[in-house]
Amino acid sequence: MNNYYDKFVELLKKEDKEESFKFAMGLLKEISVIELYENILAPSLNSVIDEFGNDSKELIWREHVRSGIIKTIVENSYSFVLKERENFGIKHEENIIVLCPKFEEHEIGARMVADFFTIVGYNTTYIGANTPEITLSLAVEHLTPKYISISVTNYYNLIGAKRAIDKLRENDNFKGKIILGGNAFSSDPEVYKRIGGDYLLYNFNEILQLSKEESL
Amino acid sequence: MAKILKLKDINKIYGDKIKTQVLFDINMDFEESTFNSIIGESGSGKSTLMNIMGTLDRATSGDVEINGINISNMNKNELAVLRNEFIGFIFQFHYLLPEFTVMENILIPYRIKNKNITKEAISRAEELMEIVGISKVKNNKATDISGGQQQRTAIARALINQPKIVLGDEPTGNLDSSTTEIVYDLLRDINQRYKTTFIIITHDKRVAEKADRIIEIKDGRIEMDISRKI
Repeated sequence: MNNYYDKFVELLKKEDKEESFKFAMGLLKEISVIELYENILAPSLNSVIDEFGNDSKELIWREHVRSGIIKTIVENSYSFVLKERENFGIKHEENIIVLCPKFEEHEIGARMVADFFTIVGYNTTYIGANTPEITLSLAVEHLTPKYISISVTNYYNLIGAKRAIDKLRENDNFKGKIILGGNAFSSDPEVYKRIGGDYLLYNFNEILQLSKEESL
Repeated sequence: MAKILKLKDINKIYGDKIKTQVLFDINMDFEESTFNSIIGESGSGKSTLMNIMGTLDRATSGDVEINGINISNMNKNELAVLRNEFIGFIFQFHYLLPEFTVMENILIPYRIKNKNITKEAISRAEELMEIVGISKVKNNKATDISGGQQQRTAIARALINQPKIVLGDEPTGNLDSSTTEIVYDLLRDINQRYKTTFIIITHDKRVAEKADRIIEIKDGRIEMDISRKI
């Protein structure tokens, strides 16, 4: 797996979209989409910070280009997500909404998480990045989800996440649970409770565990 | 890390007959050398809180401790001495004296504290002007420089007495976005170079998100208090 990661990062560092894409899609013949997301794509996103963390101007454009490449790969992996869902064979009737709160533009983690919830059998709706509270409220009214999963990368956006959660709790139309995740929680694992979350989940196995507990 | 500023059970009530409470039981500590931002809507109480931290206003009840000194029983003069020694201020509007040059403005807090301007003070002012990038305009009147340069002059002025704490009330609120970034980077650089503690009120997400800690004040109470890994 390390060799795959090194090779992918090598291509990504060149911002070579075509070769990065071909390599990643080719990998799906050998590894699962879960492994691709967790062991290759997610850590490779952080590599840009290791490389350009001290040069904010360089960091921003390169992060955007590389995120774009990874987003293309994630979008094109959907058939493998559906195949993986068949392998797991779990089915829930409940809906789940996945989103990033207002101002949060880093959405790749949320997209991957949406695919993970699909794999473990939920009817998953990915709303998007930078979701205003009113948009979420309307989606909740329409989809009546059991879970809402909010992904937060930039810790400033924990404030937006809290506002969204407060708004959801104020309204009577959402009685479900809030699942939180993302890099913003890494420095203080307890902050998810303070902003009103029910669960903080880090990886596929924890999502699978939740799904299995629901199936009991 | 040592606590440079402590607030204990701070309440602030304005008015005698009609009382309006703007701060409610605020408890907060700030660690030395950290960069903190305070956010909140207009009227949330954040500027009142900052004025209390900076000894420009007194709490109705509660204790403020600066660098281990409880200021509750200090008189106005004692507070002024402490303020000039420990705290630097940067406001949205620079409040530079228009008839003075950049250099003279920067040296004002030093002059108030020490009466005479020493060679060391001039050399420190030169160093600060170099850091904030205004050396070329040091002999210009405060009115003959750009808005960004005026704010940088205000930053240098806030630092001339080597304060342990710098309080900023919307220090980039009057600047365009690229100058905001330059000024913010400058504050961060000073924070790391001199280990100065910064507490900055800001509406600017780009400033707040880069702080070590974000405190949100809502209706006079701490709504959120989050820190990033340092």
